[in-house]
Amino acid sequence: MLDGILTGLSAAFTFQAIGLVVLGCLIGSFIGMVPGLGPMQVIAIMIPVAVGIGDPSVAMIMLAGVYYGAVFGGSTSSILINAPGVASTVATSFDGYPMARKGFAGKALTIAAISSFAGGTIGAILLTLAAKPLADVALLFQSPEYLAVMIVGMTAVAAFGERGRAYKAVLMVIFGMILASIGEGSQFANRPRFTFGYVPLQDGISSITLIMGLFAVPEAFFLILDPKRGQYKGDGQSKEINNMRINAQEAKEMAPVIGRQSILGFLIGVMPGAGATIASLMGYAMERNIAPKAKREEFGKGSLRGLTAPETANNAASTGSFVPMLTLGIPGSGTTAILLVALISLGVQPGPALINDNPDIFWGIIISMYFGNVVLLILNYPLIPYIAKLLAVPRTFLIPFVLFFSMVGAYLVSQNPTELYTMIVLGVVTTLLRLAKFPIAPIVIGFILGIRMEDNLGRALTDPDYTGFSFIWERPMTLVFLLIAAAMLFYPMIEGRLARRDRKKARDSQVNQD
Amino acid sequence: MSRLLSADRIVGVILLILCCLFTYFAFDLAKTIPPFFKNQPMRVDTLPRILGVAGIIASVVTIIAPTTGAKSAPEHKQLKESQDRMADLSFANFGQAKWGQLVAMIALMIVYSTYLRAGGFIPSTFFLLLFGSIILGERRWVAMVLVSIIAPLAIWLLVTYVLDRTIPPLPRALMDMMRG
Amino acid sequence: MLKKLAVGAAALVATSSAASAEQLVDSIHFLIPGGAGGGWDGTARGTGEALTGAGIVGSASFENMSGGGGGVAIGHLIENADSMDGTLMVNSTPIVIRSLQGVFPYNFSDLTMIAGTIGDYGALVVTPGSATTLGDLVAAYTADPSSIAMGGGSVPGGMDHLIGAMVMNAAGADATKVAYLPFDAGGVALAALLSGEIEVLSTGLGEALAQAKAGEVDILCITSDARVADAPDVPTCAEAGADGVYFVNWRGFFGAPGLSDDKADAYRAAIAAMYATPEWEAVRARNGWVEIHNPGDDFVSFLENQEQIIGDLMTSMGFL
Repeated sequence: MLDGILTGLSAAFTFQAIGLVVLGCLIGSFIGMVPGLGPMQVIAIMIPVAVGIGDPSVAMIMLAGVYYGAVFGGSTSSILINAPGVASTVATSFDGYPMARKGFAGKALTIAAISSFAGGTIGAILLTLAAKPLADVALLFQSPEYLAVMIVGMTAVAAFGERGRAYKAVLMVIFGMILASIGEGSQFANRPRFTFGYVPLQDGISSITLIMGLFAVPEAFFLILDPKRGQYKGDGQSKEINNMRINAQEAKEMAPVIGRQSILGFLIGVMPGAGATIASLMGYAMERNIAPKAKREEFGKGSLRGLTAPETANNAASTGSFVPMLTLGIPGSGTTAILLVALISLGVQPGPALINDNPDIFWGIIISMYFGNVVLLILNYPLIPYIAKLLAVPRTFLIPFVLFFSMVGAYLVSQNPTELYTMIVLGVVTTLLRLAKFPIAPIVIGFILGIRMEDNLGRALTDPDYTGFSFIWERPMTLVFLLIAAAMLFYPMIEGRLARRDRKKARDSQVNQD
Repeated sequence: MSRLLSADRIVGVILLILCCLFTYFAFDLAKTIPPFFKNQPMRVDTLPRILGVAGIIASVVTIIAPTTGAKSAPEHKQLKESQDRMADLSFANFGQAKWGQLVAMIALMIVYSTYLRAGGFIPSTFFLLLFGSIILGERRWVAMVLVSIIAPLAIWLLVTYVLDRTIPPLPRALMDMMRG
Repeated sequence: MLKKLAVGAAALVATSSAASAEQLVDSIHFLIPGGAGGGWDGTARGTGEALTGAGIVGSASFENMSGGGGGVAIGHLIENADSMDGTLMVNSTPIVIRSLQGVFPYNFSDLTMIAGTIGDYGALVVTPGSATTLGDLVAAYTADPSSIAMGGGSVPGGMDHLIGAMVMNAAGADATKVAYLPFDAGGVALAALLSGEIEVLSTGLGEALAQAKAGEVDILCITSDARVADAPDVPTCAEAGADGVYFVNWRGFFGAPGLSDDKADAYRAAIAAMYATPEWEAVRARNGWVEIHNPGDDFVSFLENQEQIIGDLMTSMGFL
């Protein structure tokens, strides 16, 4: 492992890599602050740049910088203007914005920066420790195990999706898989499918085009439709960023929260399907529940703990979600799905073999996480007030640029207008889906996992060692994963029943007290 | 009535129609499969058939399921509200949205996609950015023209020298002339 | 950096670099039917770099046009043939396979065949010690057909499957009954071999040599007509009991239909002159390419022969 870390260090500490991570952090923070443009959109736009860099470890180091920058940019807009760029920073606005309204905007940003840094760094340490053993286990995996793990990932998307809307998430996963089946992306599509003889479609929809069409384009469309979108939603006053210091007592109050939430967040992030959003909400809820009564009252009104918890947890979870991506090649979240696309575009096949075959890339990514966190802290932090001013780019210029960057990104993949038409159609469809409040991230997960699931199912069925589906019970690890998937599928039902019972009990006890 | 015709249901019906079409084509694939692959346990149409049927079931559930979400913990309610706020437009009436601007912008994107190769990157992008701003109601002409000239040039230089990709910068006819 | 600038600027202004050899062609525009970073991309850019670096060609420009597994670029070259006499398209063995499958509305014979430049042989590899000869493998298969699963990096019915089937058929097994598991990258397929999911892997010689050197695999045989210098102990498949097996995965260049003989010959001369230059040797060594030079008419007859062999095999396997 020490060798690996040194390899990673030598990949990360070059003039080029340092320059790019700094640049990445800045670009990420800036674009991430624009409401709606979160890490997924920013990374999507930056993939062509990453592919252009060519060297996978350097490119991924830059993307890691972009990623951390974007996450932090999202927190900044949550705190300053109560406009969370993405779902994972929604919980940040619960207490961050009230704190800013009270006149402590600077302090809120400091708390967010420190919590993110600590969560991300502790997450990276845990990832360093966990990666090698997990990759070793994963080397034993054959196609049936991969298939089973992917099924776990897909059921998790539904299980951890919005309550009462799990069926929508399932439908979106299927929709993504259907999109993936167009062309001949799968190993078992030895003939182009569903292309109706149209040659440019034979390669299928490129994942970069899909991501632009699902994330960047619809956001621009929403900005067109609604001129007020992304503008100040609070009291309309701009928040002065003044005193950014925190005192020793505040630091002491933050420390245990950071300790708990970074570990919890990391573990949640490792589970496929449950990403930063779930981690930040669970972290917020947990800290509120265990806080002493006086402190609990502060939640929602500018609580220190209420801001520290989600910021720590979402960064730790973001790091945790790299575990299944790097060791199995299976994305656990929308963001890692997009990073997976970036890796594959760079000619790297993530999986258990990555750690041995390309240790420079594997460890380069992990080292870049420490690095990204540090750069973010020392570089962005003093610049926040200035970056925040850039939020004032008028929409009449911002929107054409977002669309232009999306189109250039998709065009660079293949230099083929069909990619652009596909992107526009996907953009329109996604806009409609979002208007009807369908979740979009499951489409990417379905798209990315769809092809891989088909390949692994096909290999498992073709393997003469098994007759038909007998691999399910002949391979114990496969069986275990499938049982986990089944448990997750029933989890929302059971949990819903428990919640109802709890509420009933609470009501009853209230009645008794009266 | 509005309950019955929710956005969920309209999209659900559209997806149901798409899934039905997809399923039809998935079952139609069988006749194009060469003999060797007909006997394989995993065929080109195996997963599409499953997906088509699963898609039909899931869209039917979306159509008939109640549109109100289950009640849940307060932070989930807050999340839902915030997500709604992010996904939703900030007005109740769709009629207030700038549909005209959106349609014009999509048309502009299609024109750009079609003529990008023939028209060359720099002039095409100049028109995209300029007309994009005009569509959105910008009238600061000097700024618009300056931005629309500088940005394509800068991006082209970046793409060519940093990313090492070739995008023809000028119209094809002009490039042929220059090449002699 | 200067050279990079010069190549990039060639799109705007024709530049001439310092020539160390006689310049045979003013400029070549390389059409790459796939995206950046793929095998075609590397071949075209590497060849262009060697040609301009050695001064044989004044300037080179590159254009990626992916889609349809290369079909979009072929269509572009055919439809705009009149204005394409300065363009060369890179392609490889799959153009033959895909033409036979009928997924292209075109065939390689619609184009002007310039030259095959580099290539790779096929190889069958196993985990060390699991089988020592091709005969062992066939015997194990005959004894229990369900004990052998073959893996490869192409789709079923694609190149790696065809190479494996060709060898198994010639060695006396019924290749239509051999289970074939496709993997999407060499590293993944190797992991499957090591974990025991597959017993034999059909792959390219270049990749197999690197893995054999690392001690991860044994090479059973290669599809060349004679042993190669890099691995003198490895038998050809014909020697190992698969009579008459010979297969090259070639890469080469094509011009537009109706390209004048003068132009085509100038391109062929430029490519022929390239092999002796140090610039080419640097590019070749960096990429580990094997020179398989097939200019002009040789290229035509080579491709026709390959089409015949692959077509017969695909028909007999039921792939068509």
